Amino acid sequence: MSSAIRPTDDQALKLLADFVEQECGIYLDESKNYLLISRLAGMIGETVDGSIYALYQKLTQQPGMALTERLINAITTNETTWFREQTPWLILGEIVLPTMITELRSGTKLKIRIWSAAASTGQEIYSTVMYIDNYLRLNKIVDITLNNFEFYATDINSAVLQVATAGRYDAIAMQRGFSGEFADYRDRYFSNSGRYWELAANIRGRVTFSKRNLLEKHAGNLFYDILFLRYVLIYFSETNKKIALANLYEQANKNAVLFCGNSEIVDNQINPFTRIADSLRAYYRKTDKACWQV
Amino acid sequence: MSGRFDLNALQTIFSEVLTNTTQVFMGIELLPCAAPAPDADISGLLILIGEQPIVIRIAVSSAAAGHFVSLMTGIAETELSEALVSDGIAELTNIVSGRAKAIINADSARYRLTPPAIIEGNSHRLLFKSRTAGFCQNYRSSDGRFGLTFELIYV
Amino acid sequence: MNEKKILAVDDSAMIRKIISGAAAVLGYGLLEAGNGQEALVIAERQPGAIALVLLDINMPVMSGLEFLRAFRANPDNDTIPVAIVSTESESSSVFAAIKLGAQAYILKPFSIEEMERKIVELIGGPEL
Repeated sequence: MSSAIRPTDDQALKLLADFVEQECGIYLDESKNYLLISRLAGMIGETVDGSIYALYQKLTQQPGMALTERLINAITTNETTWFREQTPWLILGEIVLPTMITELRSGTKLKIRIWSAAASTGQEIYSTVMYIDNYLRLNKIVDITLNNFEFYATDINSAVLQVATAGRYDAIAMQRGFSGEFADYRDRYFSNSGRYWELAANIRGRVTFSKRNLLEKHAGNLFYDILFLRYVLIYFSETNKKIALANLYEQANKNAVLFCGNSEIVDNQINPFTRIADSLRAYYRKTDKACWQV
Repeated sequence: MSGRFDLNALQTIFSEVLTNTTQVFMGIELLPCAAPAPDADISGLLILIGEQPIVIRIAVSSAAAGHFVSLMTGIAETELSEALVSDGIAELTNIVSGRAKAIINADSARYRLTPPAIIEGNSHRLLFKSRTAGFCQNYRSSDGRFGLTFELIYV
Repeated sequence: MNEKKILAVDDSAMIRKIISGAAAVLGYGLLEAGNGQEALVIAERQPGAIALVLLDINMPVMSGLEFLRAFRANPDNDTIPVAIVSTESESSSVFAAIKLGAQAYILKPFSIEEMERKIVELIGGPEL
């Protein structure tokens, strides 16, 4: 290889940062170089000569989902909590569950399918199972049970899914989110083995976890009624946001509800779901017509 | 930062790093507030050594220290040892300073950090004779329960 | 029970405590060292027990990079992955660690989920 035209580490880093922005939609200015280098350290170490430029070449010359996936993985932090943000639980309790339970009773729906599309270590989907279980109990609903619901959770990273499937959580994770109306959920649904907290088997066993890249079309024929896509679009470029949302839209039943993060703005340029908002909170619905001109 | 360090840029870097660190490590949001500084019972200190030495200080009351370290470790406040609480505040100061240093050093400036030190004592104060300027901001946790004082002292 | 262990090398007892929680969830035991020298002693006394080393860089007595050099000098340790866990994030430090044989780099502060994910990526997860 000619060394004459080989870029310096700084130049290679700039190339890599541009590539990350293009692939993941994350813009990292020079002051954040430290973040890129440390997060990609493992991948840099696997290249032929352990250099930034070698990683850049590998990423650009062997385009393929596997490497890009690892890039996205390397940059995400997987941070999550139980019952993250109030909006989904308020909307579920006040609007979505009452309607869907009526539909189950009338037979217009046989199952309600719920999908957590960036599952991380499972807190979001397990929160949902617990919330619905508790909702049925508090409202003394006995004709509809958890058996009427199916719970799916996917993530691009199989390592977090392993943690999620185990349903075991350390004391730090168990400290986050069990407050206010959710304060008693911890003791109701978990047992403490001394080394870790374990989610009750009747909740844990209801969730099907699988690896999935939201940018790829899915061959499955399941359609979902409640979808969670929170704090994942922030890692995508505008183009990829649109692709991910289109893929979700395709797999959503009519009237399906989509929850995004409170601080995420998902406008109709890229989002086919209809935004439904009052002054306090927003969620999205699949209405008759996609919001964008497809 | 270009050339000589820029006071405002430095404050911005540290403020961002502090709020990000507490968000990731404690799972809480720290919000700047105008309230007077709470009593300082534990201070974490480091010195950023370079063209302009800067003392970095995070000061908390012992109640706040217990609460924050409990959030960082998952150990109930009542079961925390004093040593672990001190270590936790030292490590928090260390992480905030280390992250900020990495951002500052991304440019041409080259700064080093001392290891963290801890000062303990009920309602203590820290006075520097040669103090020239500085930055001091009080924060409260988003649940409003506990405060934290962040200080940069140019010595 | 012959459980595999994670060796947490950090002068902060709090960081070791956080790692111990992640290790427990994933079904690993924990060995703790407050600096590189203590870690080398543990590695010599418990050959075969260590599945992964999580290593801070800046520590008293013996730094993480000095430990890594000595640890990698022993071919018995070739198959044991080492992940740096540090605030030290300038490229020079990261490259020095990679050249000395570190497989991953976890920046402080890390979320507990991120720590667990990295451990699973390096040595696998809980047996179900």
